[in-house]
Amino acid sequence: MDAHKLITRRWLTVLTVAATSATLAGFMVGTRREPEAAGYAAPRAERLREVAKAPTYRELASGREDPNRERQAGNVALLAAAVAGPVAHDSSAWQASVNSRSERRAYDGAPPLIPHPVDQRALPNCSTCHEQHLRIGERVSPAPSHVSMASCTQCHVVASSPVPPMAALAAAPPVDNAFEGLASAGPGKRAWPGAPPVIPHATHMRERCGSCHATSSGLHSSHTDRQSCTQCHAPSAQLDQHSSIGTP
Amino acid sequence: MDRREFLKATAMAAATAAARAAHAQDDDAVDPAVLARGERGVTWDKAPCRFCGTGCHVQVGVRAGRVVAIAGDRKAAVNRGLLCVKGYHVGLALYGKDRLTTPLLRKGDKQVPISWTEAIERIAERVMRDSKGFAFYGSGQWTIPEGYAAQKLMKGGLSNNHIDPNARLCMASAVTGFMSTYGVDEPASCYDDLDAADVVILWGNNPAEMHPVLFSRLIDRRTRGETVTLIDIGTRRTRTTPFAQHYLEFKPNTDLAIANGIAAYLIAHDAYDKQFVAKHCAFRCDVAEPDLNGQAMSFDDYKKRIAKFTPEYVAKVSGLKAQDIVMLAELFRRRDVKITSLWCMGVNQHTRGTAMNRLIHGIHLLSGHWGHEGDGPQSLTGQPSACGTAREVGTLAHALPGGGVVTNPEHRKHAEEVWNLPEGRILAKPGYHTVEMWKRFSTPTERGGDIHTIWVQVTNPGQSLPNRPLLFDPSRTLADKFLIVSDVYPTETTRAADLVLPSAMWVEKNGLFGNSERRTQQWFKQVSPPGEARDDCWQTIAVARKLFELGHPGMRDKDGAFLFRMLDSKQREVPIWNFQHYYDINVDRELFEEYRKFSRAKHKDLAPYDEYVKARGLRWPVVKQPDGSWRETRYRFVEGEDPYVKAGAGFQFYHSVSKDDRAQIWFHEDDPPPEAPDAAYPFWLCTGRVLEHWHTGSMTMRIPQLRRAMPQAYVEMNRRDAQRMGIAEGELVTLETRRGQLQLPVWLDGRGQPPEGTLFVPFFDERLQINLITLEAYDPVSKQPDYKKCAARVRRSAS
Repeated sequence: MDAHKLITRRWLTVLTVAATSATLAGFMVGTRREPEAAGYAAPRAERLREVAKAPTYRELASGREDPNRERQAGNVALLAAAVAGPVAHDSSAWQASVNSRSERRAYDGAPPLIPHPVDQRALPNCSTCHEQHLRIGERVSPAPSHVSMASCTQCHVVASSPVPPMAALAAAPPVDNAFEGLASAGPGKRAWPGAPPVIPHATHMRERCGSCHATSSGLHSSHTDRQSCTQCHAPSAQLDQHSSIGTP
Repeated sequence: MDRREFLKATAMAAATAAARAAHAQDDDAVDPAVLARGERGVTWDKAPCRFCGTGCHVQVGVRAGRVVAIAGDRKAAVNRGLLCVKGYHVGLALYGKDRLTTPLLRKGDKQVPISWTEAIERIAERVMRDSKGFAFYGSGQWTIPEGYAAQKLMKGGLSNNHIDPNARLCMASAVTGFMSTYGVDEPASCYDDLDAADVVILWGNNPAEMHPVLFSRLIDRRTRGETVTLIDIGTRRTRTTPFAQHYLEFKPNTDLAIANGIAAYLIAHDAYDKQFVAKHCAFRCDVAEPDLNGQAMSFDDYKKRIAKFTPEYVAKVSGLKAQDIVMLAELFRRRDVKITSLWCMGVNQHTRGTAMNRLIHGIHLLSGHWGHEGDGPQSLTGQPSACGTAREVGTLAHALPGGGVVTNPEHRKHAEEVWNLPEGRILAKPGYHTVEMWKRFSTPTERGGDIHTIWVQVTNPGQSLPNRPLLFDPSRTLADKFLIVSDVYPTETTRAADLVLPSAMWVEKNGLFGNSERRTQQWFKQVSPPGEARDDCWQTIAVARKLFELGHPGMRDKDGAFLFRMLDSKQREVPIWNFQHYYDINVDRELFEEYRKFSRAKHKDLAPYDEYVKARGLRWPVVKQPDGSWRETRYRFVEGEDPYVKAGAGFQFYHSVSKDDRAQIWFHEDDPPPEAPDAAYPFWLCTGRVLEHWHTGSMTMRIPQLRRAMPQAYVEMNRRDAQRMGIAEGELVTLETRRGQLQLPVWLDGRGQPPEGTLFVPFFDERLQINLITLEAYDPVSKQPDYKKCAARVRRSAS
């Protein structure tokens, strides 16, 4: 037995014990009649640390007992290969991802520029690669972060132009611009250490989380096999204009 | 940010929050502090986009007194959260490095900084010397209050009708088309058509680039499983073409024959909507000298004259196949499909623009494809307030607010009443339209050039006028001609100006726009303008006040009060001419409430200002309901939609030209254009826009993302023409017309694809100005020039 499996088994034992005691305790507590809570008491910090963190791929791969476990293990192995390491937030990778994103966007939330030439007049066939989230070697054609729309070039323009340049042209008007775009939101806030972070940016036009959180190494989710992101990660009503607050 | 800026920003945030809290619809639970701060320190507020006539709403993100982000407004009915690339980058338009920040006066070859006091005095002096030779040239980018103040200053104050907007170059033929068909201006239908139409016909229209959000609203229906048939009738393949099931390429200027072909087929096959025509339509044709209302003609006469436009004849003239005409006509024959027509500059910038507008309305009326959701003609505009300001406020040489005309004594009387002016203050004679105004400005005074001063606001005629060497440049060499320009950046116009005034733009000031579907939209000032830049509306009022102080009699109403007298809540006059006090009250609100009194005259009713604060725009007529709420109108002249249609009428054209509640179906011949290719100039030259740039590019060329994607102008030509002439991709060629020449690089199979014998050049680039060589010929009724058709030749520059 190698070290990995040993560690895993040890953890499994710990988890099983913890789960059993929790269930037992819960049952006992549940049978008792509790006085109604007078108000919300902040949970004690030390207890919070014991709350299970989002599991690593390795844990996910070995922690299942269902009939699909082998396939799941295979998937997870692929994912784990793409993203080295567990949940830990790598701030330099995050920063690198944020930087590369901001190079193509005027501000957080702006439609990104197209980093490659496109046919300027044909029906945009962007979806051939982008809808599939096509990955060839290291090169990824990210799926759109929003529902598919037909006229892609309405919002996404090329970062460098195919118009034949004219050498003698004056530089004026100046292209310098003092606009300072809103930077990336940074990590979402957590209600307590270990809680799922809230979504720090608007989700309008960014409904498909995987577009960024399954491609960009610094923004990568630890659990991309889970599809219903807003089940745990709350969006902001204000940013999404779901309330009148701040969005008259 | 220094302390002063910080205080300004804080005060602004507080003011915005207070204003919003006062007006928010469901703000009971809103903590003003949260409102002002917002998430990530960003305050969000609504504004219509600064660019085209679509009228999308954006959410503007402001932090520390600067715009930092833009989002599509999900509560906006027009765009439902989506924008185009220009809209997403509209915030950057404020922050180009060379914003104009101080008034500049020409001294010799230089423009030197002067104070606002001196600048305002200079203008007032020019007006006092000879107010008859003073002209105001504005735009469809004027906010409604800005245009209204200019209108009142000129027509009500100076008894001078020489005020015209650049909308003359863009919407005038649509206006005359509506006026002569329905008796009143502006679309009867609205964008809701795009959600319901089965077939959309594009008449020389490229919405994929020019009205991208409306195009997506239409085309994304396919993604949802709906069927939308697009028919692109054009003179060149564009980005819209690949989305269309049918591309019908016609020879320039033959669109009249195509529309006539459809009508002729419906008549010949007895396939027109007899009931609709019998009940709601009348027939009309030109008199010898084409004018706005022509003369009535009988149906028999119409039938006789339209008969020659058989599919075969039209095919021969237009280059379409006869079966294409039949296909179009058969569509109009069907009762079970909804057909929407869209058009913009292809039809309007046309020496037969008025006629072509009428013919499109005509085939919809004749076939009964009119007045149902998805079934009708919809004219699109190019500027954000071409409708709201140029057309509704009536900042045209012949117009008065609310659809009035200066030639009508009752309309003048009404305006004099609203403005509390002595009788006879407003002149009955229309002023000079755009081309005439600039021609006279460029003609020496002793040779009849009776315009000595033009004040330009919010537009760039030095680049956008046709045939600039004729209309613009000569004035710059005449010592007694004085050009005043209010703008935000140096342009071809400011560089040529004698006096330059730095303006506030977009969310640096309060504003109201009116879009293509009669939707009036309001926004608040959200950031401060840079340096000494100030609101255009303030500039106008400050000049009026200076004239008042100098004793100009026109600046007083009949009780002797200042023309722009505004009172605070304690009934004290607010010195709004002093910029420090300009925002002591909401001047926009005051002007709008006064302007609103004009809106009932032609059933273009506007709601109170505060209703627009709450809404993402409302489509007029907006009529008060018994429960006190305000209801907008989607379809005019349609029972159940338009509150002014009598019960039981079904449809009622209550401003009918023929005074019998009927719309007019016009007959027009397909006359030849004023200039066509010949042996010496064998190419057609068409000009226009591209997705990334808006009009003359003074804003969009300063936005890096847009500039990088489309850095300069070019000439598009057909690959076969290029091969025949030995011209390579990217090669520099000399483009020549009878007006002059211009060097441009050739882009083959680029953004668009013109057919053989046709060239296309975008007009956004101030360094490669195609309007140096375009033709100034204009439509006889609308006076709108034709930028889409003239004869040109191409030479290899090296040879």
